[in-house]
Amino acid sequence: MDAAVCKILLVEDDAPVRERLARIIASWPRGELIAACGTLGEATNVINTARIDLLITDLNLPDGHGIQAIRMLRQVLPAADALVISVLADDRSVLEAIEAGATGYILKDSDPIDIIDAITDILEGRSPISSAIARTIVRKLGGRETKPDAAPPDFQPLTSREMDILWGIAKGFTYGELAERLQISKQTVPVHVKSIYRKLHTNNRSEAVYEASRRGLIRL
Amino acid sequence: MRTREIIGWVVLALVTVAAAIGPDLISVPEPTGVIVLDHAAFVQGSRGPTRVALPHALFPKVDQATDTARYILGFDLPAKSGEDLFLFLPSINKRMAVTLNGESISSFDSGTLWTGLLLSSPVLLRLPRLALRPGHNTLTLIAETGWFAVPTYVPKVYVGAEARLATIYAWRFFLQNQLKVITLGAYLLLSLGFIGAMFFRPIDPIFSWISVYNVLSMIASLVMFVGFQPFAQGLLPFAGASVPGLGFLFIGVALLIVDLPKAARLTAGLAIVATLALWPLAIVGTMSAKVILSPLSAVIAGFQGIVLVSVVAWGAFWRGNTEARLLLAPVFLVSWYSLRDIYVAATLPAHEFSVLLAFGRPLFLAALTVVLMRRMGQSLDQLDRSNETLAAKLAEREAELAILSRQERIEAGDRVREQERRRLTRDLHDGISGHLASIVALSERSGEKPIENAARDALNDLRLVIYSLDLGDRELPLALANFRDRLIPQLQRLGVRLDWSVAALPEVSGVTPGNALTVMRVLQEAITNAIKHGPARTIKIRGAMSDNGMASITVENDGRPFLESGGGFGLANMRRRAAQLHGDLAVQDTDTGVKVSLLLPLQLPDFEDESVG
Repeated sequence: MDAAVCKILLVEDDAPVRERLARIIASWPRGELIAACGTLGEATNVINTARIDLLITDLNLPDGHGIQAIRMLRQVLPAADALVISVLADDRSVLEAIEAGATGYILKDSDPIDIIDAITDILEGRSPISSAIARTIVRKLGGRETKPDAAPPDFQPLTSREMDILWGIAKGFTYGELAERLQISKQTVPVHVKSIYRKLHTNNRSEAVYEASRRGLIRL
Repeated sequence: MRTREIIGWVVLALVTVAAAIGPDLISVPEPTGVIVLDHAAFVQGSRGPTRVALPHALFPKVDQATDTARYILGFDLPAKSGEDLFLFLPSINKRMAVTLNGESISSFDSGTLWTGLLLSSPVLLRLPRLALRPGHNTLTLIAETGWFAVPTYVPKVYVGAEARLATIYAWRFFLQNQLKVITLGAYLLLSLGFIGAMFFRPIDPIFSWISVYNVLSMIASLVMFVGFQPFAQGLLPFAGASVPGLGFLFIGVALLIVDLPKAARLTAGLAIVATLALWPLAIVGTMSAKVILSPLSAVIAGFQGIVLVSVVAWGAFWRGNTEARLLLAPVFLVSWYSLRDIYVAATLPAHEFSVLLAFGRPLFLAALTVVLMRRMGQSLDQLDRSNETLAAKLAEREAELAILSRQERIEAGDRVREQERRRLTRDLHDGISGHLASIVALSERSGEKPIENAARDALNDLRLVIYSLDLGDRELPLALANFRDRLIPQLQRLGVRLDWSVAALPEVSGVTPGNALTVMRVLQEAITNAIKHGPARTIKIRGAMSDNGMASITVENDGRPFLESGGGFGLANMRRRAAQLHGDLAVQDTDTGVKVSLLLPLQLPDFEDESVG
């Protein structure tokens, strides 16, 4: 991956922002912008026809939702990454995107350097996490722990290390403080976070299937 | 405890044995200094006279109709006697007429009211002076015999002065007559108590059983107390025929007490069967029927006494039934007395006729009263305990409800806030924030730096507001972390390093979106000041517990001191906000820059309430 050029699909309906992001990506030698779409329809076409490594998508699109694009990407190109552009990076929409399969998010007004950093991090297996998102995940998991029998068969529980990291971040610790307390390297914290995101996505998907089969919607 | 229990049982056993055999061991003394007549010439019908020793028992015969027997006694008097003479019969069980030298001094009808199966009376008669003769005198006792199948008892006869006889007579009258009548009264009273209990607590079958037994047994007792009176004579066989039925009812009561209700119902059936079987004998009424009836009833009653004691003893010792233990001694005494009475009535071995059963039954009823009181006490105790339990449960439930309703209110508030936040976020997302992001993009392209910065600041402030909407109590660290996440890119752009550590901040409660936003605004202002006034390379933010026990957040820059250079408006704002939070703001110059400390109480005031008040 490092040596290869990263093929990127950008989906953003706001023209000035789309152009800005396109410019930033274009100026990044390791990336190649396959397409910059303004609608979900265009994005769907690209995902179905082109080979891409990374999807960067806004959530609110004129003809749909960025989460739909992420879901499709996960089905068509399971190896590709997805990054959400959020103007507020509020925990609910970000978590929704993560459960759909995104592993990172960037703020719409981030500096070019931050945007490139975020893309690089994702490609290198590191994911960002804010306290608010960590807290939302912890609450969600806490609610599920009370009914373990309802877990689907391929449920992937978080490791205790991952839970510790989530708790710490939700409590407001910095990566540095957390690394010190948990006796791990500061750089591995976002790696754990990406693993957490992956599990959330997998569990969310299998939970949906499990729930559907339980209700008799799907025959397994 | 163990020793005391043993002592208790021993005392009870001794008292019971004393009550059982005492009446036969201790008796009223015989009169002294009087003429004792212990032989008589016995004449019955065409037989006799034969010489018999007194006391004498006269058994009825099957072929005999109601009849009398004569005992002729003679005694000699000195020629001159100064004082009145009295005739004393310590105990008779049937009516008796007396003549002296051929003159009647007492007829059958002049006896006392209380002459029956369960009683034996003493007789004290003044001998009329005119009827007495100096020298030999002849006394004739005409005893009623035969009409009922119980032997007639004729005691030794005493003739003497009143002073020698009256006290002994009074004692005997009291013991043999009055005391038994008193016990009958006590029996009546206790029975009324149980009838009351039956009506007030119909759910408890024991009271109905005891009441039914009491009423029937009371009727039978009355007949047995006065049954030798002519008006009651016809009833006596029926009373006798009812004894086995009553005995079965009695056993039923005992079975109920040891908690065997099915067996008790069985004995009720036996009671009806026994009564139906024996009453025809009483109805037939011939002497032979009576002669069969009497020993048959006696045998059944004796058998019942043994069964009764066995049942109660079994309940007391094997089942550990406390009520059975209370009843054991009285039940034993009743059974013992009835066996003993049957023996005495049948054989008359004793020096005089006396029946004790009349004493036994009130004893049993008194024990039942104790049982009743015990049950009542237990019920009241239970009621008290139930009340306490109920009161405690009620209090518990009320507390639970209070907690639930408080939680409900909190959750409802949370829900409303959550909905509002979602709506607000969505609106801001779709609207203003998108536009601001557009402005950033546009102005960046055209190189309009001030516009770009202003738009970024506006976006940042918007995020500040949005994030604080979701805060819960004690989530100040989360608010600070959100703040930090936004601060890092901001400072990076300016080339300022952020040294952040708030892990040592004590827990602050009472955090609401409003007061958290105020805290963030103070910190934002402090950082803006640090950036504006000093060419800072590092901004250090620390959370800690202050010396005076407050939560302190300090913002320190390493630029140059700026206090002298003013910045008054920003500081005034920060102070006002700190005061709103019941906190304090300390600003001091350091060698390398300025240190702003925001001191917060560990319990933040509710911002909205504060503004209203």
